[in-house]
Amino acid sequence: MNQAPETESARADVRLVRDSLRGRRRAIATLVERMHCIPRMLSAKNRDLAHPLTAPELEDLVQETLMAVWRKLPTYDGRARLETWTYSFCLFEILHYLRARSRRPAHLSDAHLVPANGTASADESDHIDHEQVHASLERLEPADADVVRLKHFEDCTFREVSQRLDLPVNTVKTRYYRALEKMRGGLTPQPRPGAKV
Amino acid sequence: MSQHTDEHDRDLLDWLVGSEGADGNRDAAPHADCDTCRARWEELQDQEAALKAAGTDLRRVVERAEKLRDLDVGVPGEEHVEVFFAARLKPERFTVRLRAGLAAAALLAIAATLWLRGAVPPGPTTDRPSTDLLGGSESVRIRPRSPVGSVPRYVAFAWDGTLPPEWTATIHVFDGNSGAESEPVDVSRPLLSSPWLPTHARTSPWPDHIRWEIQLHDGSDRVRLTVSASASRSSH
Repeated sequence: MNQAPETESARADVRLVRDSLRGRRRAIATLVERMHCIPRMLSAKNRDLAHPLTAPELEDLVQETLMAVWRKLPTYDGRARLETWTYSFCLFEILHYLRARSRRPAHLSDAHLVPANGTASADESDHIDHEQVHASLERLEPADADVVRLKHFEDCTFREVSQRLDLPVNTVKTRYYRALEKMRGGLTPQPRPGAKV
Repeated sequence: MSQHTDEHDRDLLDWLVGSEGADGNRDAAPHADCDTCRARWEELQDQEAALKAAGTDLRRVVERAEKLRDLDVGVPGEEHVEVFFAARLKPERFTVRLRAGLAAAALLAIAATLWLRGAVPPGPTTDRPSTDLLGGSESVRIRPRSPVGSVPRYVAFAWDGTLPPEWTATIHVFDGNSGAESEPVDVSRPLLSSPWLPTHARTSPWPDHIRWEIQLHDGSDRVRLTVSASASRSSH
């Protein structure tokens, strides 16, 4: 299994985290600047969900997310861009909070996941648990997950993925298929509560 | 009804990865008369839809977050980021470079002592002047640009000049009417470049007349240069 991150930006992000944890001042400054994405992404996601959270609740969530990210920071391996990696924590914390707040602890009403603007992309995503996607990717072989992330999170074509990872296109395609094989059963959209099946 | 074979699997893979161009029919399962192929084809479609939706969601949120940053829009909880990491990530006091410097200085001291005692013959002399702290190739010129003088609001704390590699800057804001030894009313996080953009909520309680300092720290966290400017705010 290939353990090293395969893109230059990923290696740079790993160095950034490692140097920050070692106390390198410039790295700390950069990391803190980058970690400002947490409150911004939480606010952006809150807007996406039609503002279910108040400002004080968002402040609490920022602290919860910071703590969750901090606990895992030493294990950051550059498999995803720092902001992408951080987003999975934001998503988990915000959904976890909403679930806990709702009277239905087992499952958050999917209505909370419908983006406020109701665009075509909302139609695609309104009954899909994005959190489940991030969790499934974490369970994949890192080399396979890299391909899926680049393809869907960074919207790359297979040719672009092959260039980014410096791999033959056919290898990329095989990894992609293998990844989806391993994710079987984990990503099937759930019907919305009350929806006709 | 056909039997599922290895060839069917290869065709499914081709269907999945060969459809980025115009060629390939995405609407039909290869070997639609094979139950296994049809079921797997439907599942692959669902998986791709889920991944695509998650990717769209991620990019949308990251893009909005970046827009908030570019517009310098304050969001709830952002002040916690600096406080949180300041309490946990402590800059190291002695970097490798500093340790090497200290070791070299110790060796020089020993050599000088031995030379003074006549144990070592004097080496060739040079009239090259000793390197100034911030002179020669390490020359750093920093000049506060804004806010300077009378301004409507304190928005961007900017300066002209570039920091050397490994260096950081911090902005210290003082009450302009207090003495030189007073405590700052606010201090920025370590910055890599100009400007510092404190939020309106942050600058609002500051005095209407301020003195602000740019402190430059080298890679060992030593303050190497301080320059200051004054500004007065005309409105809140």
